[in-house]
Amino acid sequence: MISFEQVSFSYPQAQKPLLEQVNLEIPEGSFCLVVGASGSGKSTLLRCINGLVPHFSGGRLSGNIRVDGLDPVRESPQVMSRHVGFVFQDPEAQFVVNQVEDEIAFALEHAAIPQQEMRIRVEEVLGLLDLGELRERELHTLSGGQQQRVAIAAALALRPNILVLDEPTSQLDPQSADDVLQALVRLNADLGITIVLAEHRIERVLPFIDHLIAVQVDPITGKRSVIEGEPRELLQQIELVPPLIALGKALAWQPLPLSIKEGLRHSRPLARQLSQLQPPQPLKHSDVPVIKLHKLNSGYGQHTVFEDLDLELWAGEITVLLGRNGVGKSTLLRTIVGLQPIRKGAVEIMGRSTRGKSVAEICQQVGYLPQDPNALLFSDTVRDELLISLANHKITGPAALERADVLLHKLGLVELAEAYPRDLSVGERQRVALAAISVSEPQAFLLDEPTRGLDYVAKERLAELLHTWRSEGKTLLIVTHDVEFAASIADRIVLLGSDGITADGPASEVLGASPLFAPQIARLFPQTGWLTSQQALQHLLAKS
Amino acid sequence: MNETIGLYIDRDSPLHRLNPLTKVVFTICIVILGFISPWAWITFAIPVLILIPMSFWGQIGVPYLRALLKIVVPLALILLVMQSLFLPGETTWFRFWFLSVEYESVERSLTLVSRLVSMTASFILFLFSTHPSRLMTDLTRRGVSPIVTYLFISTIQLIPLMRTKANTIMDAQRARGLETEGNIVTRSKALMPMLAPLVFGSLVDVEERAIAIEARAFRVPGKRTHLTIVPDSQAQHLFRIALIVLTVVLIGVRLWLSLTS
Repeated sequence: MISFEQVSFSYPQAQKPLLEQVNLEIPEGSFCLVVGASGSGKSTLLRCINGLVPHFSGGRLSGNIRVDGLDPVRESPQVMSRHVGFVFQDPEAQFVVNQVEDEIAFALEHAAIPQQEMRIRVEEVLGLLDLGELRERELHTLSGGQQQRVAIAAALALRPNILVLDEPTSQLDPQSADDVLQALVRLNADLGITIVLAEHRIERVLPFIDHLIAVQVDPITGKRSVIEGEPRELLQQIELVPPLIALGKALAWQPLPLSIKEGLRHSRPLARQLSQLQPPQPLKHSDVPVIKLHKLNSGYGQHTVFEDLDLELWAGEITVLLGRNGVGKSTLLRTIVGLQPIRKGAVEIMGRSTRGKSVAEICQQVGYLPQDPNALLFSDTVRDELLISLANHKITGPAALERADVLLHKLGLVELAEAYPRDLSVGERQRVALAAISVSEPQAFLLDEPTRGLDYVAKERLAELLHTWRSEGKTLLIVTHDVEFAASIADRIVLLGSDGITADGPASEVLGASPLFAPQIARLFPQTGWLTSQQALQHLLAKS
Repeated sequence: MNETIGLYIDRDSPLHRLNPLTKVVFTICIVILGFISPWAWITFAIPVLILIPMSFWGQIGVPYLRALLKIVVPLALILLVMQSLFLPGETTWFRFWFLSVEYESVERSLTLVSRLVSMTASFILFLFSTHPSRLMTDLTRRGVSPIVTYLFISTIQLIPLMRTKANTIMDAQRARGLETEGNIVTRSKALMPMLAPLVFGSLVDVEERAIAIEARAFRVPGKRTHLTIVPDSQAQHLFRIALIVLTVVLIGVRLWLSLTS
């Protein structure tokens, strides 16, 4: 169905090729996952399938590509659109019109499908993606998951045999992401559509796939290689994998389990051993709360987001705030730093109320990282970003330079000090944003969705940084949808529901007991209090 | 729920139900009428006697008046004062310190401002009452190039997207200690950190959307088909012709008047 033969590609003006002699064979009707670090060339590989590379990107491409019997390099993306549907990361960025039905019909109108036939096809995809009730809705009123399903429907309207999706769930919360994945599974199983999907959080997709492609970058030479094959075999060769796979590989489980259901067959006998062991206990924190919320109320216009919220956050503790979309996790962070007005109640930082203080004053004590680090960055160099933050806080001259250099060193940004921030990878940009908000040496950090768009390597580096801050006695409050990341860093978990805080306690207790937010290891070893593969492995291997 | 796309305000009114082309023709004719009118008071009367009553007919009277007061009136006043003070003239009306206001400069600035008022007021009414998608569908069906209509609609869509983005950026910059409120110096200093991420972010968005439509049969040569046909009527067709004929006649009268005088 899709074959690459000795395909190499370099972008215009690039010194090195991004793809080098890639050979691939994706069988018809398969559900194929593409994994790799950010910047490894996954998107470029996917865009070769429908001819966006090289037709839209420019650059040099050599080798042979065959897709559904056609050569996408010879044909244009317009011709390929009848064979390959393409879905991008951000649903809002790919919409052309305002209404669900019109959006789905867009490609059909341009391909001059007769009106009668068009009606039938629009009905067909509305049904397939379960969008019938939303047909007349304006796109911007839909949730992220609904929007992404509309994008998939729009891509399917021309009845392509292949659907290519470039990280379609990276902007979604876990429930919406599951919605989208279930829709893909149905399309693959019921209609036999070949699906090629790039995704970072691979634990969600592994149970459904039958083909895996890994784009790997050699850390020393920077040379890229693309390997493919049966998922279980290929996962043995990939270093950074989800906790279930890491555990399965370390304990030589055969066949390697791809889903929790398969994993439970191997883990049940071990669960008894683990339950006799004491799971790791959270570190002791100080007795003085750094941030204290007292009967806090906040909202927008007529809409109340939360009421009477009480919370105390301690020094030297990482608290992760979990909850479904729209319960007010981000609003809570914004209210603490003063970006959202307090309706009732109070926020105290180091024992002093924030009432009457400006956002700038509050942020000297509490560093706040918003969801999109791009919103912070505007200077020509990484060092300048830090100097500007320092100048905002009235620190200039040699003292500022010295402080910026110390921080660059501490966050591992020395080599990037003169780089242009917008040229950096997602993970590096986020690190620069973290540096920019920490120049005033705040006592606490509030991070909103810091793992969005990060690959496993970048997430590990972020976790290391957070642990360093914790050991320095900083207070950390982190909002995330990524339960595996939460399990790897949290001392304490706060679950926020629509009626306020529904659970608050040590990570091992709260995550282990939550059916919605339990990480893979907690599902494999229920009621043992173990959350990460490292913790479990350490004890299991020691015991054996 | 009131949904806004660009400047469009969703209502189920006779004005909203008019075919978009009728509103395009009407808006263009009103703008021309403002320009050819020999007296400023006629041009000023257009918004008051035609556009404002029409906005109430379209159930958007209150937001329309609010927009006029917030956008058009301040702009008109500033222009009126500046032009009256600095346009040259002969008959001095009054003097104040080193400034003098001449009768001719007031007359000319009134003409200019009246045209600006009737033009912006008619565009605002058009944008408030015309759904961008319906306009695009209708114009494409009538043979306007999809690239032209796409350019138009994507510009309109950009307005709310940029507004949201600007708010996100402002919050992010305030969180790193930037003062965005206070006197004019503080505010202008805050502009650069706001603009750079906004412009770069929007450029990325535009490129992403361009790639996305490329993958969906956009620019395929040949005719297009349409899922929905925006309703039109014989009466509206005749109305449009009548409007065009009337405007042409008025242009003729105006030319004849200026030639004979």
